[in-house]
Amino acid sequence: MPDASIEILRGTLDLLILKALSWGPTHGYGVARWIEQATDDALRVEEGSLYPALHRLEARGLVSTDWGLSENNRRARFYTLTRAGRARLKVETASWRRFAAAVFAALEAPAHPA
Amino acid sequence: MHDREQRANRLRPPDTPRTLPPAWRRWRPFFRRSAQLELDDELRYHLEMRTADYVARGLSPDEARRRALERLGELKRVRDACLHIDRSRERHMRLIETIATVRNDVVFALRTFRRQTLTAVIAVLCLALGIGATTTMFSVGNALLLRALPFPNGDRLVSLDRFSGREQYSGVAVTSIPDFLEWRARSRAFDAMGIFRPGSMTLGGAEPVRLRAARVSSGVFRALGLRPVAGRLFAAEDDRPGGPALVLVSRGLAEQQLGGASRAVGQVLQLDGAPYEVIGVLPGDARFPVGVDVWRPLVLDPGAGWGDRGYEVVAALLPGVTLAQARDDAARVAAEMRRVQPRDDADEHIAVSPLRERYVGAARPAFLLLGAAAVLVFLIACANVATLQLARTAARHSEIAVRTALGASRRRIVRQLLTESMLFAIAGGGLGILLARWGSGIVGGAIASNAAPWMRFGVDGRVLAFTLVASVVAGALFGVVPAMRLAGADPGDTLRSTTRGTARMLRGRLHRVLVVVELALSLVLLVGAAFAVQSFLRLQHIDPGFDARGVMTFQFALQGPRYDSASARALAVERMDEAIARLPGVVAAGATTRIPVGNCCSRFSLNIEGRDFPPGEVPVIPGNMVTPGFLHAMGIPILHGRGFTDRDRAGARQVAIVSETFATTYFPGGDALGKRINMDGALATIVGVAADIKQERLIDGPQAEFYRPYAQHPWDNMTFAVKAPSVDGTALVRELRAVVHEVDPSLAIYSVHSMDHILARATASQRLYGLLLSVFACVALALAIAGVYGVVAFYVSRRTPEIGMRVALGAEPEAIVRMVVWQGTVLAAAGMVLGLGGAVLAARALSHVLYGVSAGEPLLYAGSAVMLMLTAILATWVPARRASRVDPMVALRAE
Repeated sequence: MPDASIEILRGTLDLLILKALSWGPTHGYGVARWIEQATDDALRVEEGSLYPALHRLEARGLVSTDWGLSENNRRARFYTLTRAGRARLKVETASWRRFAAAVFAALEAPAHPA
Repeated sequence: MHDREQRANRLRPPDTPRTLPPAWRRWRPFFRRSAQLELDDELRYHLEMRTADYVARGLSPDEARRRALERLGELKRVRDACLHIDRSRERHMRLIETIATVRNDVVFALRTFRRQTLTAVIAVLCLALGIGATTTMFSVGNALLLRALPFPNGDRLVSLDRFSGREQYSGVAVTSIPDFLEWRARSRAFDAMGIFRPGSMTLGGAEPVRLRAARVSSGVFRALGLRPVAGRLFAAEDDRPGGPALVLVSRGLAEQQLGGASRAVGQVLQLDGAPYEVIGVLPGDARFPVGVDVWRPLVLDPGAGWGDRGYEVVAALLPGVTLAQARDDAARVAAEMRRVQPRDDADEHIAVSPLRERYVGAARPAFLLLGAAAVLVFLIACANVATLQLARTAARHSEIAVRTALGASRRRIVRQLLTESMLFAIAGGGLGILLARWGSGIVGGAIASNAAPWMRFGVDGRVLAFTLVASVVAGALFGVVPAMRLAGADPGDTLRSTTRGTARMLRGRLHRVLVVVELALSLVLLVGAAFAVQSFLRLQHIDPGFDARGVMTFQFALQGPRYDSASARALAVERMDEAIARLPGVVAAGATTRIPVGNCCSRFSLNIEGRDFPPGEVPVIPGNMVTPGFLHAMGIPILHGRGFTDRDRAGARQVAIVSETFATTYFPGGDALGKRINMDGALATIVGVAADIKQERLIDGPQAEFYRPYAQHPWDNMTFAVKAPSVDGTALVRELRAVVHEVDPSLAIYSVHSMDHILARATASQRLYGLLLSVFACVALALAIAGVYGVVAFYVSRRTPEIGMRVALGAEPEAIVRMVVWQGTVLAAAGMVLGLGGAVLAARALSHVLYGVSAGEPLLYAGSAVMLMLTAILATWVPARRASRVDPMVALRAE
């Protein structure tokens, strides 16, 4: 449990939540766990922002909610990616790729441009 | 079955909104109940899972829980953030849902209107009449009672009038200048107080113009709070005797005659032959009294006579002083005056009334009366549309049953039906406003005959708001009942058998009750109209005591320096009198101070020889100065003694003629001739007794009146009555103008009317009551009859199988007709019984307003009832005929 985990950039959290849900419906805790595991605990989810983010995505119609039973047979609120959410995930992923590529390109640029 | 499926499909949109995600909809009720609890559950689950995770990694349970909480952050903040998001989302969803359902309802309603255009049109027209009538009356009331007076101090303004304890204040100006000066000095409740006297003046020029004028003290404008458009107003020093000749003019006069407001100041006007300097211009809307174009200062001479009672007083209450306090103050002042200066009319009181009453006055009872009638029309229209809706929805009952069976909630269906009703109501209200725009000017102008120009009887924001409220109330009134009724039906029952289901649900009782109520209300209106018409007819048959046929009248005023002396006035009138009498075709002519049943009257305190009146009981009696030919021209006979002659002139013995009622009241012994009366110090001997006439109002009983020869008391404002039955009116007026011009080219003649016209004007308001109430009653009757027709037609269509059975069993067509007509008769009879009670109440209220009718007039009740009964039975005729022609085979197959 490393203490020095990277703070998630604002706005990136939404993208990660959408991605987490793209594997299937899950509850808030499941989303948090998936982000931790998928990033090898390098990214630590600010849980204080996680739930408001989930509710906001619901309000925007990108996810829907439903009550169901969790893996340990407890009643939990499950989040499901809606069609709009899936589309948004695609767009956001693409733009993240471009952003990251641009940053990398900048970082690895050999010299001051002539 | 196929048809039913199709119908179900068509009905789908309003019942199954597709705009909501199904999951959300499924959980909505639960979610709504406990958004907060759900959030708490969610967060608790998270904390428990995280704690369990830490425990699994080897932490103690307490430590694990602490770390889990820490990791979630400040719990309250997270919770609030989530709740905030959830709630705004929920609000948004609800709004979208509402908009969607309303839109669906409206679209659906419009679609049904298209299918039943005729009933929709009838319903909207009914409502337009009902709402239009009430809106018209509201806009009149708005102008009369609600719209602010156009004076800055409008809400604080009051009129003060002197009246003696014996007679109620009658609206006749009876205040004198000394009264006013005492009031002003002694009262404490008023900010400013002014006295004025309306009159008229002739503006000199090539074509002399008669203008409405007023003499006003400077306090009048201070009380009103007016500011001049240009120049200045009167100051306190202008009230003193011996000041320069100054006038204020209205903005209208300044613009039409003087080249604009700013150029008017400083000009000199020739008024009644004397020069006056214009010192200021008053704003256009705020002319006080109404219609005045020139104002002169009123000299407040403390030496003026107490007996000169032609003045009116206006005052502004001190800020914060209530009307009741002002009345107490006025009562105190009156008591002081009675104590300090007992006079012959010591029983003096001061009436304090809001200035608005000056304008509203006689229009109030008319307004209340017609307003009540309009409300009745409104209620009848609502009841009528309710019956239409019942019939409409009865026809659609199977559709609604299908919708209910498909899962539409009762609330949903009620809302759908209410939406339709509201659409009707709003369409009706829109048309109603058009009706009111047209009607309010007519009604307003007629019931408030001396309405000020600022009382615009049009449609303003307040009227629009009223119409909206009236429409919504109407929609609710006629919409809720049928809607509740339909939604309460058992769908299964209907689906099993359409005919039987409809009959079961709509036994028609409610329908019949509504029609009975309509008939009852219509009877109230019919009786009211009958009373008003009867009153008008009786008014027409009043004998005014004079013969108006062929009499032309005109007014003129002998004012200004040229006519300062009494002898100059007497001479001018004598010359006119002679010249007019010589005109071809003139049978008789004469002048009088006030023409009978004209605008008002001149009254005098009279002491009568041989009668000692205690102070305060000296009679105040209408009197006229007349030239010798006047009584003859008006056809007023002399009963005893003689009429006036040319010899009754200034130097001769002072004489008088009294009316018959005067003679019998004050000289019951029949010895009036030779007795003397004292008018303003002149002792005049009674030389004749004339027949009674209606001097002030047609509806008054016989009144004591007297006449004095004009030559012995030359007045300034006079009216000529010229009897020339064979001469064309316009030609006669041309001749009369020429005669007056010959006597004095600076004189203007005005108020040229035939005596018939003056009589008609005196009965105009009664005619209007009769006319408007008749219109309202006709509308009501038409609506009620439509209602009867609807009920009976519905009865027939519902009973078609039964009727077919009867016909098959050999019933005669006449028997069928009788059976159906009987249905209508029962309704009409029930409405009659119910309505008579209301009609008696209405008649009692009307008898206070209308002339010559009392609540007990059996003929009017009976006539109205019979009329309603007959038309109701007539309305059943068409459905009855239809019933009698029912083909038994078709009817039985329908079952």
